Amino acid sequence: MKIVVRLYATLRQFVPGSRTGEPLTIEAKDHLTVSELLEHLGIPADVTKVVFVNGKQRERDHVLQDGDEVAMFPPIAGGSC
Amino acid sequence: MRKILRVNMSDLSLAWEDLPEKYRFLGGRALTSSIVCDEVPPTCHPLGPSNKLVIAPGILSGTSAPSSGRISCGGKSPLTGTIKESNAGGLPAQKLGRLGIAAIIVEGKPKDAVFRLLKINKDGAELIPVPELVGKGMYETNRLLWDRFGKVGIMGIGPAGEMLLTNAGISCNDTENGPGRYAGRGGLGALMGSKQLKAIVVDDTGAPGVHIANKELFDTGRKKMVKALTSHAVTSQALPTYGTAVLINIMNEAGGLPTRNFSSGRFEGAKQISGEAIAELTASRGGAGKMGHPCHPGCIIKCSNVIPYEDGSYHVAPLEYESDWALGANCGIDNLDAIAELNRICNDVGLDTIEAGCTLAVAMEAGLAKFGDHEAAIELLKEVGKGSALGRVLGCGSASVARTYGVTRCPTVKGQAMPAYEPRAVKGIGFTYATSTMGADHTAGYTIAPEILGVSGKSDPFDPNKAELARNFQATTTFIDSTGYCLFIAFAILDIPEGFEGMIESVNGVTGSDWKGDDVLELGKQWLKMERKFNLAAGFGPVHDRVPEFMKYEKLPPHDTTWDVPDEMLDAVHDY
Repeated sequence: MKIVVRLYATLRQFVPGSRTGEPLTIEAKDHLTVSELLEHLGIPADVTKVVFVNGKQRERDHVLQDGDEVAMFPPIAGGSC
Repeated sequence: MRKILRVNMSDLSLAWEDLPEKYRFLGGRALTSSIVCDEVPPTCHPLGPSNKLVIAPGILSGTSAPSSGRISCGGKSPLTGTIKESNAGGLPAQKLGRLGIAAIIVEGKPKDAVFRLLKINKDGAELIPVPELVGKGMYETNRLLWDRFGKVGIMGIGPAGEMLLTNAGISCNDTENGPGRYAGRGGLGALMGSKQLKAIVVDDTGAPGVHIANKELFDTGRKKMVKALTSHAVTSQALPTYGTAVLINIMNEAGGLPTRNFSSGRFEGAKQISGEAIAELTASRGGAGKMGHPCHPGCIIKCSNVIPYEDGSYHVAPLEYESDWALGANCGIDNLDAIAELNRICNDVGLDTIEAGCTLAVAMEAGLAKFGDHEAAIELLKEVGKGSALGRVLGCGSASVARTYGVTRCPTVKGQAMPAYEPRAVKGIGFTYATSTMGADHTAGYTIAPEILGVSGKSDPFDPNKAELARNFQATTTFIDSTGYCLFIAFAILDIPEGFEGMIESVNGVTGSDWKGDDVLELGKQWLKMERKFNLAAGFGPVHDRVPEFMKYEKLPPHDTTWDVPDEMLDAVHDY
């Protein structure tokens, strides 16, 4: 199955050549979990904080489907004071 | 003992008063709101002689506690008609703190048409007529004031405040004398303008410094706070590296980035205006460009930035998430240089950037410009400084334009525009917008931390049961806003218990109070109750604690959700 991945902030350093938020299409085995996707991409589990699958936050054991769009972030915060 | 400086603009007298015993442990928001509640009639006209502008540095401002240089400005808001506390960084708070000043109260109304400046130093204070500064923007005003008085702290208003426009803010100067640290929200610049006070300059040369009741306790607390801020990934890495606009992409992915006047939760140009893009732009252009810029000396978070022109010269500082979003995504604009220019105009004319961006978006909805047309947006914003009839309508904020042009999609609560988070996609922040004592204000109770960022706990953004979350965030925030610490310490101290202890110990160390961890929520609630009592007397009840109606019937893409929270849940926020 195909998964589209977008990496933000410091995470793109783990995938050489990737750019902020540019979609990467990954060929993956069926029933891949978020954890396995991180491993597949070579992104250490502890540097990823928030994972969205199709715009909704999902945990590491979430099972991905063909065509899912996954966005990943390290710990970040902001707003303005 | 700390002092209150009372400035009577009716007879131009100045008086130094000992801080009353009942205010002994208060600073920042707790003090401005207490004085406003004690001295301002809730039904007064915000621009009339009975309203008062109250300015208070936080309890710790001027000490060596990290990131503690915040100032509170209070009064009855010309924009919302409610009580208001607007909080800013920059130089003035620490200098006032070192001079032993707990609060400045500006009251009355001049009998003449003269604008004046309030000069404060260790020898006292004086009011000086400044006809030469009338009509000047804040960049030139700050330059002229440093030329004349040296490297003073400056609080000032631009032409918008002089014209009494209800989206006028109060500027505080930063370490390079830029005017971009604003107590922007709620139109307090118009209140300052109604007192015909163009600026306050604060010189702390030879100041005695903040009196610290228990140095050992203060130091213990301060060290714990330093450790929390330097060890938490958000305050030690993400904020200094990418600035606050690092939120653009995550809010966009969450489908909660309000776009084109709150008609969508996703913006196709998000990447181009993100914190990552800002960091690349400052690095590639070099020159004055900078990330990791502190808004006041002693800030160790350093979330601010300096945006350069293409040739590397200084354009604007800071470009924050809310401003970037309001003047960018919410107007359909994906050009960082244009957003920086819109921000610079706000800083110069003296406008709150959130309200200004939402105003432009409502104006675009009304057909005054096309979404995404940044050149037209710049021309519209320039009208405010010119004082044209259209400029005055725009300068009075989103609700003013919506009313003038019959726009129903007006994203305001109590007349104040919503910041950069969509209530239909993130329910808890909708609770904060609806029930805050200040009108729509994200800083009043930043539930985004657990709902989106996974910081300070975790909470499903679509779950409508957010009354308790909103209550606890609002109460904790009210406490932090009184300490002088930047609200961003919350990211670290709500995850790291020793940091939370450090906050309380450092505060107790300065004033001699004996507050415990549990007191933070209780004191916060007590102060919120006091603010709500003012609002009730000013005519605001539960029916005003609501989000705008269009959010109940317009589905927000991409999640196609509406605001479906029952009113009773909103009313439960302040049921304590």
